[in-house]
Amino acid sequence: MAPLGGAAPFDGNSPSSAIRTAELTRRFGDLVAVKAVSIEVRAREIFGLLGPNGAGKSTMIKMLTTLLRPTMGRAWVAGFDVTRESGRVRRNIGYVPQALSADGALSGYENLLVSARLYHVPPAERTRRIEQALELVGLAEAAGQLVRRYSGGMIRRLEIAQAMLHRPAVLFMDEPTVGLDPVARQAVWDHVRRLREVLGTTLLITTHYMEEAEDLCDRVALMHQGRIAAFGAPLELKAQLGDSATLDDVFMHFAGATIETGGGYREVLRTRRTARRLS
Amino acid sequence: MRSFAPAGPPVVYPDRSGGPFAFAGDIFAVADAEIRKLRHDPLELIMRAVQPTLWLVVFGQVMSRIRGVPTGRLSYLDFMAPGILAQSVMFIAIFYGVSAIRERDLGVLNKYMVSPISRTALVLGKAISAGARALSQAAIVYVLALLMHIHATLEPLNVAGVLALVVLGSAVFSTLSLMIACMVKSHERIMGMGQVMTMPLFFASNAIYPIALSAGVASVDCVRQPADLRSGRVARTDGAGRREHPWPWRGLRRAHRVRGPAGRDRDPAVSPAHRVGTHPEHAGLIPAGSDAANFGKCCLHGLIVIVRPRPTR
Repeated sequence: MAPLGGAAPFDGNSPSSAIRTAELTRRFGDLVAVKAVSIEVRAREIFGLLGPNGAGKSTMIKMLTTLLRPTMGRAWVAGFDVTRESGRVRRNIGYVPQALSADGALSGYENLLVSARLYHVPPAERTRRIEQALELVGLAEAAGQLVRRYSGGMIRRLEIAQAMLHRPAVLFMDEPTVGLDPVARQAVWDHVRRLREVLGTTLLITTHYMEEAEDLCDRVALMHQGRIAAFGAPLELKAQLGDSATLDDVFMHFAGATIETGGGYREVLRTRRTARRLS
Repeated sequence: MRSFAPAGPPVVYPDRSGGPFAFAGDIFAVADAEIRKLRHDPLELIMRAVQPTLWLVVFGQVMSRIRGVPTGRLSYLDFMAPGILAQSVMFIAIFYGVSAIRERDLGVLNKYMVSPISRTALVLGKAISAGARALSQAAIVYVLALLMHIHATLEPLNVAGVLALVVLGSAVFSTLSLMIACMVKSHERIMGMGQVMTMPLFFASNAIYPIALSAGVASVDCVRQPADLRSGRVARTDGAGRREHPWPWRGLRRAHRVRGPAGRDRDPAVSPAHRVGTHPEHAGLIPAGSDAANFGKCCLHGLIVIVRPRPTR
């Protein structure tokens, strides 16, 4: 893979942080979905936000992508405040939501074209970047087809391609592998890794597959009931418990609950729906 | 609370703002996506042609043979064709919010929401794409009209004016529909709201009959309703021994009777201003007392008809 033109918008070796939150809190009526969370994600890091359904992961992502206003606390993404400079934040991030973001009534190429326009990719560069993105996710041959006819794995890869067209400093992915078969899942992770290598993108990923997080993430935060129960590199966290410990055990230890608990009707419905469309 | 972050804001990344034409470009990007969808799915165009075709070919032909609607020197089809154009364009626009709700449910809307385009550009882009849809609909009605030898004015300025109005009208109605979509948030409710808005507007307009006819009927009815309720004539029988109800459709029937030549002065509750259409040669030519007031009444009247349960006999 040839390196893509246009260097990453920051020096990857500097210890700057791509995301930082300070006592970030979100309430829904009486329910506190996220309770005073303070974390820092370093530039060029693949960061995993783990936890069961309803732990507050999606609420966190929505606040960081400016879709939801925090009730209290502050957050900076790519150096901009998510409430006061939301427009600038949006220009510097990409987002692959758990729900569908590719339009089935358009072809793969057109989906990318729309994204390129929305993110003000210069017209002269559009075609080249779209072709590169298609190649990067292995969809060059299917570009002319309607997305409606794509398989689940292809849709996910297209969504990743459209989220990185404008070379965002930070890419958010909400449950990117829910409902994918093992082969497609592996392919998605490969693309995620390549994104960081080629573009120097910082990635924040939510998942509830612990074994994947262990493989892929540099550092993880385990969320439980809106709080960070544990934070650090997967190996460090496991080392605290002993040789044969898994991240599931780590979660058990810090949260005092299994990963299976939690999640309301809406959460389950959403996960099932995503699983259905991608399988 | 344990903190996993150092204090203070992090290093600032370079800003990437759009150029001076970014706003127009954003609107275009949104509208273009919608128009491309239409191009991929021409079946939708064909299906939407069904309704105006039925109105013109079936309803229009029948009514023009009956000659039940006085339309002056125009043939009934000539009178009705512009109404069907407006109606079919408005119907599409008013249900535009349905697609917005579908996009929201699927999550496609999120793609736009996290992108740097402004909310204004998003709404304007959607409105313009609704206008483009309406243009395709207008083209269908024009073709139908030509095939049926309806006397359409084909002067370029005239056609351009019609098309401009079509785009503007559907942009307005589609944004209204988007507003409702934002409030009701479910398919079922927006379909219901659409019905509640379209049918009264349609029947209160002069799409299929001169407005004076409908205004007369509706105002007679609306004036009579409170009087009936006040005087307690809720369920008495009329002269022919039938039960009389304060329901609108009973009122409509009475209104017709009242307007017949024999019964024109029978009911003192009908003021002279409402007796438009008493003489067939005047029908549709005399403007009703105040169209705006009557229009409001008619909308309300339509709402009443829809909301009220049908009385059992």
